[in-house]
Amino acid sequence: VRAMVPPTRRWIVPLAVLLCALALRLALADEVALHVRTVLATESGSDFDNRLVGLRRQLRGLFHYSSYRLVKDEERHCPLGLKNNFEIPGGRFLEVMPVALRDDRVRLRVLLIEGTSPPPLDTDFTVPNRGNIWVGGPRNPDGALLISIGAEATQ
Amino acid sequence: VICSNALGVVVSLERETTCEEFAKRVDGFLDGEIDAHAMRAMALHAGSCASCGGDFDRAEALQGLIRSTVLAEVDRIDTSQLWSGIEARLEAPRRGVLAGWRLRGSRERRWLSPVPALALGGALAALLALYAWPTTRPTESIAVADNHAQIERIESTAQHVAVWSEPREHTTAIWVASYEPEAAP
Repeated sequence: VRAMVPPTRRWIVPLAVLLCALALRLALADEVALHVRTVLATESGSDFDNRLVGLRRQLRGLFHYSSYRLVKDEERHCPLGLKNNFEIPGGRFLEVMPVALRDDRVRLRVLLIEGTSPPPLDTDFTVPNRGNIWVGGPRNPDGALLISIGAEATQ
Repeated sequence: VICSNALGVVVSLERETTCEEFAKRVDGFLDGEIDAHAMRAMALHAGSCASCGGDFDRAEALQGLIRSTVLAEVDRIDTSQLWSGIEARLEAPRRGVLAGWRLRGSRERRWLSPVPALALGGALAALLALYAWPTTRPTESIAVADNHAQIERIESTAQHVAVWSEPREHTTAIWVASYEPEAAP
């Protein structure tokens, strides 16, 4: 049989198998679900957005604003090492890159980008798997923006 | 249409453009969208009819004014920030596995062909498949009791940078702003 197959085509089948295995490996690569929520916090009124009920304790414990409203909620699944740009109201971007998964913690690199000026925040940190961290401060005409960055390993 | 008769006398068979036709086709004439014969007829009419010629001159002046105004506005648009804005939204391209294999194909063919390719490919595929076999991992979303973040590095150009956490779940907040965190603890 070997003699009947042209030499140049002899390794096509194993190569195809190899590629399938590689594709399978990539498909099953470590993936992280990034969850970025942007909250507009103000000191006027006492409204609390119902969609933020699960974060009420965190918000009340960390900040002393009187009103909180969810203005953007975005979740993305991405492999480790890939940068993700999340648009933040006011022409800002949050660049989040999941770097590693270790000991049930997710290591993230986060850059807050405002226009072309040097980034106001460039940081590396770890959060527990399914945990989150808050970044606050960017001004909005009505108050301040509070950004929750959550990460969960999905593979 | 201009032609000569049997006696060699040049006769013009072209019908003269009327004011009504001129008015209907003046836009096409201005934009150069009508055929050459019609263009010529329109030009002849504009030159011989003071009323239509005046209308045409005004329309031409208006068109020139619009063009120069639009061009002036376009020149005023600042495009220096355009690319940086687009670039900031771009995601890094996914690695092109197949493209990489195709590029390397010719190089690899040289050393792959002499070896027993079937056995080598099979062994590699088996190894990779074993390596890639899915492992059971928890995917259910549950609240974390201890949510403290470990910050390894912070660089900031903001005037005020603060880090604190709340006492219950130890959730961490990083504050970066050009103003004091007045509503933060």
